[in-house]
Amino acid sequence: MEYTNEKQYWRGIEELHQEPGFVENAHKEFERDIPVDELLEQAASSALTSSRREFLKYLGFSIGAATLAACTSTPVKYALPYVVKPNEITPGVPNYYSTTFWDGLEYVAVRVKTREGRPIKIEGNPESPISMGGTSARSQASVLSLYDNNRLKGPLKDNKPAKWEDVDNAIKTALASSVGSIYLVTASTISPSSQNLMNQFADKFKAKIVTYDAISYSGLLEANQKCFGKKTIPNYHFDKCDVIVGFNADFLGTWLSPTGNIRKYAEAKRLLDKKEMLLHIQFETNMTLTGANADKRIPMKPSQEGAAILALYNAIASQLGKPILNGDGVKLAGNYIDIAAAKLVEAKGKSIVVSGSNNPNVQILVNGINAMLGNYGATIDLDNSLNYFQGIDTDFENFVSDLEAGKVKTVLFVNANPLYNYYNASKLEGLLKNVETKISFAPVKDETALHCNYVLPDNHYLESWSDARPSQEVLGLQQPTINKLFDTRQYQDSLLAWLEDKRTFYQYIRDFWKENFYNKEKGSFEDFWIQSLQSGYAGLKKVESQSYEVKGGILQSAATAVNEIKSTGTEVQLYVKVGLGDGSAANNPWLQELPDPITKVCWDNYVTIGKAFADKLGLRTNDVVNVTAGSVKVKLPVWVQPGQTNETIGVALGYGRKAAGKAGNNVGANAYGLVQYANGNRLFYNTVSIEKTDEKYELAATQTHHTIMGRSEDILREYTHAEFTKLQKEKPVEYVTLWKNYDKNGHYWAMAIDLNACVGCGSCVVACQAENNVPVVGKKEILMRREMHWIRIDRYYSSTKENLEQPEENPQVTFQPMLCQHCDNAPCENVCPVLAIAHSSEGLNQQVYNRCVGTRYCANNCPYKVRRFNWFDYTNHENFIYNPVDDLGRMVLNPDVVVRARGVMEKCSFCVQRLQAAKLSAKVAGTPLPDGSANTACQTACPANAIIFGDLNDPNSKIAKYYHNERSYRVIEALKTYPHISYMGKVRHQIDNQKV
Amino acid sequence: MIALFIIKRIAIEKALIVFLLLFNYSFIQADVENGKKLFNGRCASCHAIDKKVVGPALAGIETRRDEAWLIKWIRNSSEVIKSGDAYAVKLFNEYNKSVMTAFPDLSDDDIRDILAYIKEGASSSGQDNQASAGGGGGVSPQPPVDTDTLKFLLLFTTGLLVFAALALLFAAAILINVLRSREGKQPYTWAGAIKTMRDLVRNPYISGSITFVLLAAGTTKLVSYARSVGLHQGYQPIQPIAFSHKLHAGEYGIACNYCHVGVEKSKSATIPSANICMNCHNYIEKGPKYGTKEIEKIKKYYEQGKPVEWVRIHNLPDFVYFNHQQHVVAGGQQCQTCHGPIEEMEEVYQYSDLSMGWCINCHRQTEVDVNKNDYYTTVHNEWVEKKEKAKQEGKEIKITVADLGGIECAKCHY
Repeated sequence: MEYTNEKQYWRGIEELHQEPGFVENAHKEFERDIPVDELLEQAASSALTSSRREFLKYLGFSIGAATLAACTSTPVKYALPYVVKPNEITPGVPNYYSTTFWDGLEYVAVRVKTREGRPIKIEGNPESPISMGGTSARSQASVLSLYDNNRLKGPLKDNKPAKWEDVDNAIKTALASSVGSIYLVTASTISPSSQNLMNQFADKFKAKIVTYDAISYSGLLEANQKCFGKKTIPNYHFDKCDVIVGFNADFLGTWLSPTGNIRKYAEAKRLLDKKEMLLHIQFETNMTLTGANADKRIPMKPSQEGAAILALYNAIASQLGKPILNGDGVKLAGNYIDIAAAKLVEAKGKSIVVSGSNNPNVQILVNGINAMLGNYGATIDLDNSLNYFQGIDTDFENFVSDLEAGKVKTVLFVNANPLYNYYNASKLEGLLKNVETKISFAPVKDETALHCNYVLPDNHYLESWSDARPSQEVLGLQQPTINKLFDTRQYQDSLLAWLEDKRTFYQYIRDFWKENFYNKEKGSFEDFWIQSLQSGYAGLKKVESQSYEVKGGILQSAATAVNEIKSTGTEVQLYVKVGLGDGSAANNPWLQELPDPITKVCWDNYVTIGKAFADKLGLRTNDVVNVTAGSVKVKLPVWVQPGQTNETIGVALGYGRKAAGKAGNNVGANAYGLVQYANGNRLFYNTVSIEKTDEKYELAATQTHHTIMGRSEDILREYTHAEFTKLQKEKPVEYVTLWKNYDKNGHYWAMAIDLNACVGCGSCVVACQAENNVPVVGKKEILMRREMHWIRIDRYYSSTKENLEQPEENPQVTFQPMLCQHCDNAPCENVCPVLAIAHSSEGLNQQVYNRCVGTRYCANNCPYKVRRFNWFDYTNHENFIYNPVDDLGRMVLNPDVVVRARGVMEKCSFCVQRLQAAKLSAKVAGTPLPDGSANTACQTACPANAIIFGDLNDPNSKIAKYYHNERSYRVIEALKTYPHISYMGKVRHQIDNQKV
Repeated sequence: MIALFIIKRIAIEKALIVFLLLFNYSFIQADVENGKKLFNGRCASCHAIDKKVVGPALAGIETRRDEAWLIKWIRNSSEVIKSGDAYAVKLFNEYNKSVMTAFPDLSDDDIRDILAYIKEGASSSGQDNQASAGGGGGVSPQPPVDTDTLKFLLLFTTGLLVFAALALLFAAAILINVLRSREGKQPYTWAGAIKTMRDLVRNPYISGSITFVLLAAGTTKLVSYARSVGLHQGYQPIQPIAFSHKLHAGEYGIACNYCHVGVEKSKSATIPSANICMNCHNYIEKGPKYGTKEIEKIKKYYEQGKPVEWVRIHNLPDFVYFNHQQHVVAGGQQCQTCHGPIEEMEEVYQYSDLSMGWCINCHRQTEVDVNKNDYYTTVHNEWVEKKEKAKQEGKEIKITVADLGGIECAKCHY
């Protein structure tokens, strides 16, 4: 059956409306031509008149000078061996260590690849039952933060370098004199040993522990406390679901445990060996990653969330014959609440309803729905709950009022930066002035640390010992993978020193584990410890997951409260970006340059606004507006975003850092001031007014870079679920070529990408960057279409016949990872004048940097636009401050991959260095190459397992099984390039126009 | 009669000897290979068979002590010393109370193999010990020469000869002019000579050919020079310590991988860390050539915890990936194939030019045994079949590294 699709695809508003700027650049690989005319005009107008003879003279002199300069003698190189070689290190052979990544937002169990003692790459730990071998963009990029030269090199006292001994003595005195009025402000920690230590500290000094999270989950915690008497966050098993209904919960992007969530969600959507899949309906304000992946996405104002959930509750209750709650509820446009209710009832006990709201009343209603559907004990596990967030918003408010009352003499900030991310930071700053002793453990002199007497830099997590209990039944360890780079100390060791405990924190954890987690029946403690260190995690006893009910009275009062929320005017929905998170990693250039999965904008935050609303306000992309909420004013550029709910805007938190470091300072604007505090909870939406200014600000978006020259047919394939069930395997395309056929013996590398599993999160992009020494180019270069990422995730909006009039109102979204396709009949290979691209017998398209002279013919001839040109010496030139240009930053480079010079073309190599390594170990072992041992960085990083890679000539391999199936196609197959990558089309459930 | 008897006697004796030899031979043969391997891996860093190194010379050890004692001693010498064994204590004191490494993992048979190898080695003493360094036959050494003195001598002699030639020419000219004046002819003048020269140069044929010859020579020179830019064949820098491979790898026959520990495990063969040197130099304080001078240096580095700043000899450009494990283990290459007669080098120099042409050439010529192991027989199955087919047809085909994709760009450039 010939594939047909009547949808229209577009990558941005500018493409949809064929705006002049887009049309002009659409057929260009690079933004600008070489400005020859301009230069000639300049020459003509200036006094410099150079004749042909003079030109030849200069040319001759330059060549002569260059030749002479090249004749300098080769520098002498030295080879420094170890004095005493550590037994476990063989130079040239990587070691892997299991450890735990936790940045206050997300837990990922990781394996760290170290070479000669330096961590250079993060891989997922497949043994972890939470992250299951996946990684996120932030965990991938965390290795770069280790080599951040902005990190403090030692402790500071009153902004002057000090010695640990002196600092300790001074602080011990201060602590002794302020017993009873000490406050320890900490971000949520998942480390049980650290928690225990902090409690010990609090006991000794009669200190108060205030848990403060920049992104608060206190509404969810309080709701669970009220409903079930458990102040915990349940573990959501999206993989066991047939139906998911989400309300402003970006669980694939940033909510709770995205890495694990994506794996589970992808599992429920995977159509490799089954025909049925999950149905996902998302009601949301901003276009999020989760909404983009939903089968149906319905725009909703943030203030309508409670009412919509109430309506859903009542719709389900009436179908199940249960008592209905008083209150109107809002059914939103269309009958999607009714459809969702019907689907949920159909999938009773195999469904989940989630909400991202921080209003406990909204969460109580959600709990009510889940309880009514019998989801507790089936898909929602409240007994083996997640330990991620413990912060209760009122605690911090009480701390602020204690500050006002002058009750605080000493305050310690652990992983907390409230002077940046508290909604009323200026008030807090004033209040802190009256506090005698302020201690910060921040690794850099951040906004809060700037106002502290003592800054005692914490180690990077790759230099620290710690443990983790991400969920009740999972225990993890964090171990150092490198010696401390600077004179820093982990905060736990500081606390131990002040407690006069002679142990290091390492010994403390061991003792704590021996006491609490070690089971004598299972061998010696040493064995248990070593085994836990090796695998990175130790399982604890899992409790039987129970079913729960919510009392009617609680629900009714919640419904009443929700009914009182009024929808007023323009609302802002605040969110955190998939890459940058809450802003603590703002100084990481890999994350800053990772295009946002939806907007594809790098290096900025902005106001996202719907097309109709923008037209009404006379706004266009790049106009600068003032967003005002009460006394807070935030100035940001506008980004017209398809799918944004009318009369709402979206603004990302985590930007506008003032003291993050070279790469993170003054990028975007700080929007934490827009957070509202109401009824004991910080709510991440607010009523705002928007005021246009005369300014313009250019945003660096990659969405229409590398367009596929109008060849929009057959780039994407999408099916409704009904169409999919009827699909038959197509016959493989017949191979026709004018060239000599390649032998397909030996290995034959191929990749299959499942578009139905891929959610577009972008961890592959950062993983590739880390593995292949891909440089960061900075905003200015991106504006000139010069980003260097070898793999990009194309995000296509699509409009169907139904919404052709207003296609940008609520388009469907499809993600497509695009990388070198390693074509058998590669257009780039034929046009290279110096044969710098060759085809290997293993099917690889080999780019040879040392032979490339930079004609860029190949990039022009590549239909997939995946080749990248090094315009500058990004890794060595001091103008590119984001890169490892110093000795410290260079330590992150992968020594097995060359750092490309200026003026050469580069592109995805299928991680040939990993393939070679896998082949070599098979040769040495004398065994056939085990399937799965040769893998690419993007593949191992993928939390969704959307990428399958392997040797197609191995009949037992996974790739051989899935490379050609009923959904398989190659991009722009009609060109007969015969790519080595096959894509599997996306399948969606169709719920429009259904009668209930 | 007597004669017959004697002949018989000789025959029997001969038969007996042959029988004994055969028996002996086969008996030793089974063990010696393993013993040799073990000896080179475990013992050779401190012991030699025929001379005293760190430990005593081992030739004749089987006559000095019985086997049971030796097994105990080799497995854990300090225990034997502790037990108060008189011979052991005497030995211990004699060798400055240095403890011999214990080898608890060696089985009795292993130790018997080693002893057999020592016995065999002693009986054929004089046989070269360099086998352990990997052989390297057929490679002619390039002796290092003091080039500065040589250049000076050359220049001086040339100058002398030129001077003599000019003097002779001058004398001859004077004599010719005297002759000519006697014969009444015009004597040659400077002006005349210059004119003749000018005429010659003005002749287009002659000047043309001179220009051609000069140009051709220049171009050849330029091309050959340009080809060698960046190549440093023969590079022999002065090292911070006058370490002699000739002594260590050559005379003592220490296996390469005893010091270069990464050569079979890693892409990098690794320059030995100081603690490996100290394994032996804890006990050996005096060398045959420099006495204590050079050994003191390594001790100092070790004690101060400073790495030795060796000058790197073999430099590949950053865009080239090279892996020792691939060549030594998977490819089964000898160190000498690329590094030359290292066991004869007093100071190491770069033996091969390390150019891409050199790499490719070797990949084109080196044969791969596709029946070597399961990797090759599965992945390169078609070559195995081809070879089999050719064999049936009575032909022999040579499968090279290049045939298996060994000259493709991304094998070394990524």
